[in-house]
Amino acid sequence: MSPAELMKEFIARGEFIPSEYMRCARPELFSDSVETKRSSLTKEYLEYHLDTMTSRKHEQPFEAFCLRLAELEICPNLKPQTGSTGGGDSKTDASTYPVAAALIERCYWGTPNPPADENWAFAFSCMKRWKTKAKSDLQKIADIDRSYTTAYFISSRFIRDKERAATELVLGAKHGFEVHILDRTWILQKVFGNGREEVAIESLGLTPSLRAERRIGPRDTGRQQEYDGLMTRLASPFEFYASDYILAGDYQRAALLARGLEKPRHEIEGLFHRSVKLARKHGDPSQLLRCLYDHAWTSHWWYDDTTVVATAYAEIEVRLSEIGEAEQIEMLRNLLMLLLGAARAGTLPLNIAKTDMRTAAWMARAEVLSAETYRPNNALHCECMLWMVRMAHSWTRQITLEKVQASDHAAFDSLFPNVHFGFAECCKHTADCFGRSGGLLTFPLRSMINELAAHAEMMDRVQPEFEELYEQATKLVRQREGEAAEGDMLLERGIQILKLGLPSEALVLLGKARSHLGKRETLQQALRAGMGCSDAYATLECYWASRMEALLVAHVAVQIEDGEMNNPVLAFFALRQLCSCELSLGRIGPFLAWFELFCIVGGVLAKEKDAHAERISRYFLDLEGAFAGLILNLDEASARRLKTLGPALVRLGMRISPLCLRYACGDKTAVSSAMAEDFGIPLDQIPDLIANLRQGVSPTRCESGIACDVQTSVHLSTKMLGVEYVVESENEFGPVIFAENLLAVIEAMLVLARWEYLAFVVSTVRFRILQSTDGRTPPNIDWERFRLGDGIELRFAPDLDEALVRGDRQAVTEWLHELMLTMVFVSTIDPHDDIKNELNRWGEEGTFTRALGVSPTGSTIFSLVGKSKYDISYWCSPAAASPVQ
Amino acid sequence: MTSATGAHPPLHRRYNEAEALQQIRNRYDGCRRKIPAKQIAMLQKSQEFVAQTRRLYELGYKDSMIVVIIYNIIMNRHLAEAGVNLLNQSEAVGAMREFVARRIRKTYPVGAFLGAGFERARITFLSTVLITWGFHPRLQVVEPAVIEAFLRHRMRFFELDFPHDPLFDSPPGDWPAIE
Repeated sequence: MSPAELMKEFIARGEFIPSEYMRCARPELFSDSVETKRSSLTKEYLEYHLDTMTSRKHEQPFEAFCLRLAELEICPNLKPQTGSTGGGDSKTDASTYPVAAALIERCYWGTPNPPADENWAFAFSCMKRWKTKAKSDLQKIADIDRSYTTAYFISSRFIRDKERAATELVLGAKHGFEVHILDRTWILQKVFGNGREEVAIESLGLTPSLRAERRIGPRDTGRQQEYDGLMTRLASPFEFYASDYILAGDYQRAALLARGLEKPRHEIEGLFHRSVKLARKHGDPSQLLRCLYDHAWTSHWWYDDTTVVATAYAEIEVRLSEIGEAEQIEMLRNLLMLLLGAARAGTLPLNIAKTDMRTAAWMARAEVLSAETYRPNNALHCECMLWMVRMAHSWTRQITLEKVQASDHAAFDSLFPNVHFGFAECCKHTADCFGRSGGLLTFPLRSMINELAAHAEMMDRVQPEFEELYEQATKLVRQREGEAAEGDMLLERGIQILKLGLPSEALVLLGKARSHLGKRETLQQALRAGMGCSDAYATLECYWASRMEALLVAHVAVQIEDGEMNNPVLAFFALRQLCSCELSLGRIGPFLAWFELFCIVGGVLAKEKDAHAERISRYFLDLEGAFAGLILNLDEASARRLKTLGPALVRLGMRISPLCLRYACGDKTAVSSAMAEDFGIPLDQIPDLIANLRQGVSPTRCESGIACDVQTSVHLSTKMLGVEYVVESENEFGPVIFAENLLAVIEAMLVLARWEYLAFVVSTVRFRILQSTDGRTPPNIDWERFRLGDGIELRFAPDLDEALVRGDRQAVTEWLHELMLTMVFVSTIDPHDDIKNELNRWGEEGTFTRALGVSPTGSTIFSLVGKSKYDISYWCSPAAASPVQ
Repeated sequence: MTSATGAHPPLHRRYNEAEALQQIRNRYDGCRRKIPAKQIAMLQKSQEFVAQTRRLYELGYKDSMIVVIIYNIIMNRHLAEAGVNLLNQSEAVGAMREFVARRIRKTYPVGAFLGAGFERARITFLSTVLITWGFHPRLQVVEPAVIEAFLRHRMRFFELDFPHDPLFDSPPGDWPAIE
């Protein structure tokens, strides 16, 4: 029965049972193990039964049993005798019949030489004097006209081997066919050895006792394994858990697994209670919300108990203003809908459900979050939810209010408060939200459309605005599915080409793939495409562009969804790439920020699988080695400026880098001895070790990079198509991340440009990023000054960091696009038409989408590591770098 | 595909060797005939001018290019003396056309062909070459070194010449006959 059919049945019955509905709608969340009853036939019981068959005159059932057993174990083409007693007219109890050659090949035979074109005869007997009976039966078989080549005699008695072999020999020689005598030992072996108990029970009419047996399903096998592992760890909290946060997370996970395994309710409740209690203690609001939500959801949908939902909601709503993520708002809405359903059905009093007040508060919070356009995915998700809730309410009011008696209006208003928007208007706004979702990576359009489809099931009449919305949703689904399929193909080919060592060619495909797959339903593939782009850029030595792509991957991959990191493996590799890029660019502060996160994610991965731990440790050592090389290539004065970095490096788990820093500061003799002792290397080999480490990174990179890291201004640069692009800015979070972003876009834009088509006539393009009260974000650009040989001054309004994290992303992206086009146009001398053609080609290749799709990166960096850790002075401070597990 | 981050730029797609040689020949023929023999002789005899040309030869400049630069200097002097407003584009173009059609009789002192004056004419010459190729400079202030590098690496400008007797090449004094 489908969920829709079940729902109709509920309506007809006038009751709704949540657990029944959930089991029907989401069977994958329930146990897939099956309980079966199995007979407990014992060897002794069967033996006794066979031994006493004649005294109970059970010869016929024995013959039927032997026939069935012979069919299964010897050959399936047996024809039973049709007479009234053993032997009957045909003188055999059974014999073979011919089988077509084609069937021989396709049937199972219990013997290697099937009797397809031979005649085999069978005689079955319970007689104690088996030898006499065998002689007589085989004589009868021999007397028949039909020429048998083999005869089987199956007895219910035990027959000694020696006797059996002698009889087979004598009778075979006498009658001229092969004789096989099978006794009770053979019967018992076949019944119990080959699982033929049911045959014996059925044929012999046995009545053994039945025992329950549980056949574990594939999903339960995995769940049980994970559950057992978790329970072992949870039994030793001091050994395995450094924080209550992780402990609470594991209890929550264990509760969900126990739910999937359909363990007793008290056991599941116990685990949920523990997770909630620990989450309260740790104090992370998002974790507490998840724990309370899972508990409430389970109580309702598994145990038809909505009281837990009301309790959980009451606890969450106190902290409503702290809720900032659309997923959290969605959880709350789901719980609110459960309260509404229960109150409507009368299973929860209105004064406990408090749906009017709660709906108003929920909508107010969703409205606030909808306005935060600097987080476009989150804002649109909230806005869309808001309009859909309004749509559902206005629809219910529209169709139900007139039927509600005047005395019940207050109660009805309490359940479905007036949302002050008509149904048509809500449909229009929802359609608008759907339309604006293009290009938003984590906007869950598919699940929104599924919700719309669920709503459509409840619509018992045609509303033109709703039909229009539905049609738009259908078109979007078709378009997105087409794009996703194309994106998948581009991704696979892109990765293949990247592996062939052709990064430029791969980049075109991977850039397009990332753009096509940039949807919630294909998020993992989009991340792979992003990582592929990052690798391709790095191979082409475009480190700014590479880190921009890796940033996006890391940002999305580390996000927690349903209590788990989105993709810890990709997060790990993206962070590793970020570390490598920063080393190539000679930037120590940002390197340490990413390295810390790299260690944390590596720790999560290592915990998952022992096999990961070894590889992770190797990556750690590789990065640390490269970092040590960077430090060793510093001149002594620069190294001395970083002298206080040592403790932070130690706390990050580095072993050789702190020593290399001391070495670079001039403390060579003492450090050489310490290295020799710590790493067990002869003292005379230390210079070779230092030389090897130094060769790991390009010294030119670190010369320019390190100098600006600790100064008040920074000069970041890249060289593309023979032109050096330099960005000068204050050494502050906002200007620095904008400078990085600008260089990344320049690299991404020009990396696949055809140099032979562009005649640049400037050696350097210099950008100066300033913040002043007369500036604006994004800034105006005086191109005339650039034409006159000046740099490009970008005068932003103050608080650039805030603007980049929370400002209008679209405006910045469009501004960057225009800046790039004008810059290319002004700094080249190619004729207008040539430039136009080249830029058109970029458009066709998806260059702009690839180069600008990730910008601006401000909020990404901010949410990953925050402001302070991006600055090297943080790492030089004594409190830097909390210990990494 | 050439690496976008690499140090070796490819030839620009507008580069065409046959066309480049034709342009050099046209420029040389157009200018060489018109410069008074006396002016050439004056320059050949100037130690300073010869030293200047020698430095240019070392940078890859060809005799054919120096002749064009000399012609440009003469034209600029003439236009300045005639009071042509070079900022007025139509007036300047008209005056240039008229000058090109005329036979030059006047000579200028060697000093006009040395130092900053010569340098300005050299840069103008390089920019003019770009325009001959159809390029369209959009910057008001150019970087001569960048333009020279562009012509050198991406248009092979300093590698091409056509066979002719040099006027200023070494050994000094061993000059070809002038008219």
